[in-house]
Amino acid sequence: MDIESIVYSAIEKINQDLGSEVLKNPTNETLLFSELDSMAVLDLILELEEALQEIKGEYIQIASQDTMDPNKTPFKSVGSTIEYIKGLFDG
Amino acid sequence: MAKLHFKNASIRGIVTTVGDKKVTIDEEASKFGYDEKLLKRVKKSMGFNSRYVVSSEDICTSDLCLASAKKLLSGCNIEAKSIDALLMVTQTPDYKAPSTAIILQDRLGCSTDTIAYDINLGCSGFINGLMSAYSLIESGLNRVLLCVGDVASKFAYEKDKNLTPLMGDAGSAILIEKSLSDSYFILHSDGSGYEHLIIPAGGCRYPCNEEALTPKERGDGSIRRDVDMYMNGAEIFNFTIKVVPKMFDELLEFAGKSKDEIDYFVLHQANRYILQNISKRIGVGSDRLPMETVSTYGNQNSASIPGTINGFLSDKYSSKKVTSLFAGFGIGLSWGACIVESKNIFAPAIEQYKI
Repeated sequence: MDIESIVYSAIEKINQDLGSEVLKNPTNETLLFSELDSMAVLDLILELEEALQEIKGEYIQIASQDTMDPNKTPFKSVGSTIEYIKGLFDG
Repeated sequence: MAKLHFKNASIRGIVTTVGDKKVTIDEEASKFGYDEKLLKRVKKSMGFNSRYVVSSEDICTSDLCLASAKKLLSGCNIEAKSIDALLMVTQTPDYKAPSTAIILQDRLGCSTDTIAYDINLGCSGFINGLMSAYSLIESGLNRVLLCVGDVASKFAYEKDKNLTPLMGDAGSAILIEKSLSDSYFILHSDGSGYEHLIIPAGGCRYPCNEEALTPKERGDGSIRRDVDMYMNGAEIFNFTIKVVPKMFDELLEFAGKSKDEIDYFVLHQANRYILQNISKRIGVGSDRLPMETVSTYGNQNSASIPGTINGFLSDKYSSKKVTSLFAGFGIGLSWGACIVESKNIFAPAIEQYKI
């Protein structure tokens, strides 16, 4: 599974409990952070970390001190989330 | 940096008493305005399940700590008059003045020669209190009683859906004695973040008045008064992610130990997320890093580390030599950690307060 699929799968999972209409059929342009409450942001992080650990075989820290900052968060959109996680692996 | 190495103090016993009333999130859901979907989410994600609080306005921090202290002294076969110092860490003192520690000195029957004072700290309070107790022993005292705890249900507004369902009431008593043992402490403070966890009113800067006592709906959707605790969860999360794992690395290096040499990582039980995140980041599983205290008893503030030992590790600490890494982090902002050794200490299971 590639990173794009992991992100879309995680969004689908957290939205089962969250129930956001916007996140039912997301695209890379879909705004993500503004659709999530703080609990959902943390749910998303846990889902992503677990999926990545399963696939890559090691723990990758997704959360950072910018996670909850609306101006700096890497989770602004679906696309920025994908790019952020790709960047963690490239780095 | 505040790094301390002690060689002559160790813990002999730990007792924790929680509030007499158990409440469950199912019972409280309607009070917080949770619908069925949100209730399911907070149970699954935040780990909200049950918590223990005091059932009466009359039950204060000193009552919970006194119950713990009496049981501790009895279990260790110690006379109250043999205590050289009594330190109390709390944010919910019985009175604004005098120190609750001095009230406890009398209620417990300690000598008037006892040093007694309060330390105003929350989540990092156990570490700071333990450091103070170890320092006094290192300076020549033989026996220090450290009491830590809060009746947090009194500073969290009953309808604050973000903070109140997290909070539990508890008071712990810890006996520290002169004994050859190496321990290592690291402590930090950052007042630039003081507004992220704060009770804004009731002090000299914003005295308690009619305005402070008026419940208001806030931007985060919760209702609270200015005399109640406010937590900016996002900022506290960011702070924790930034400082806690780094502090572990600093402390292990300072102590010259590897994480494999630590039997238990007992951390302030902030919430399930933070503990899971730290557990994954440092690669230590829940068998060595317990994280069920919040779900069972609530966030016990400064009592959450001893509360976790009495709640979930009682048999381990009672029956063998244990190398522990304790860490507390939160209000202040303040954070600290220590590595201490203990052996067969008096650590009975948690008890509910009896009226």
